[in-house]
Amino acid sequence: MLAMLLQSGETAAEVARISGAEAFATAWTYMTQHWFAYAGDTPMRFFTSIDYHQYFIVSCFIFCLGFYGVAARRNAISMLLSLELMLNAVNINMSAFNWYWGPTVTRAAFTSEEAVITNLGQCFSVFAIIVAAAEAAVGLAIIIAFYRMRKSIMLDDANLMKW
Amino acid sequence: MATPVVIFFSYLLVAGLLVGVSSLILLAIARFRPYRRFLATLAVLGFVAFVWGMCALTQPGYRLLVCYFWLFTAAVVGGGVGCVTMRNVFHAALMLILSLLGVAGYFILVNAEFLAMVQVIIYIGGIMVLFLFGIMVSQNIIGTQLKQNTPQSPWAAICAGVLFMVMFFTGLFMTLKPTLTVTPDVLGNNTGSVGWSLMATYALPFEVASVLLLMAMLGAIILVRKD
Repeated sequence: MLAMLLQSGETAAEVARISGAEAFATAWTYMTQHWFAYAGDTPMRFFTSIDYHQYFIVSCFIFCLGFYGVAARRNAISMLLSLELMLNAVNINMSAFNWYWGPTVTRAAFTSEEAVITNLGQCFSVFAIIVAAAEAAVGLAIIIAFYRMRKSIMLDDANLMKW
Repeated sequence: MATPVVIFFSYLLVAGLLVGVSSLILLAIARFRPYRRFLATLAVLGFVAFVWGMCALTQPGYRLLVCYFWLFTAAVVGGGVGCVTMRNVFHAALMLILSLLGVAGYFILVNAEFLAMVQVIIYIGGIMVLFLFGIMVSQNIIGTQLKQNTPQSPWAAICAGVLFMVMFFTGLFMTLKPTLTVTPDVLGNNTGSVGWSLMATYALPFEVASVLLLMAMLGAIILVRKD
């Protein structure tokens, strides 16, 4: 979304114009001729040059792993561990986008000659870590209180409020 | 540019990646011990082939950076898969620590040194130790080799896979280059600027976060209190 917002006018119009199957075909073309091809100036570009795409895709993978863990694990502590994985995916994304887009995101970068760098993404990651700490403390307290009451931390046993 | 050497190393890279990832996935399912050992050897060999092909294809100036990136990626992805699939919850937490260490490496690579230190000290030193304590408190239930997945887990895997494919194509579709080229010396001393931002620009959210932490601490104490 950020990339969409920051694109130049011509490219943004191009992105807005194509949609659906055509967008899929374009992405497929990029994959087979650009990212995973041995022709071109940088062979196997996805693996041999690092920019924000690689961070984005690794963090997507971690996020989906965390989603699978939250949906599929049976006990509450494993579910909290998977939640930590999802939060870390978000943190990777924010710091990597800050690294790559930081000089261009600030308004001063459009008006002044020198590179003005924002660190909004890193500050946001700090807040995400703070919220993760609070979530871990309260979540574990709830799990331990539940364990005292039911002698179990399996989520199937948490059916007191189920009608 | 597509010389036979480049083509060979490209195929070596892709084959190593496929072998490594598929043996990692099979390792998450397999239970028979010699088979598991064979799969672990295959995973390591695949990763070595991947790194070899990648080093041969990368331009010399970027080689170290790219190697570090894929090393941290192996830690993050392997730790994440282990965290989600392991039956022993204590081992799952240890795999999550491996994954968090890889994320700290990512933070170093993207010039966020402060975040890397916070990741190691707060996440691994604080939150994960809290988790390990929580696991050890309820050890007699979950430390054993229980079956950990719900019957609906294949559907969860399918949903996560579809989500990942959507995100993958979206991510590869973002192809615009920024107007300024980022080099490591542009970002410079990042810790100082993050501290300045937290204390000056984002002072109010910082205070709100401290209140949130206080409430979390009080809430945790009240929840686990014996009355």
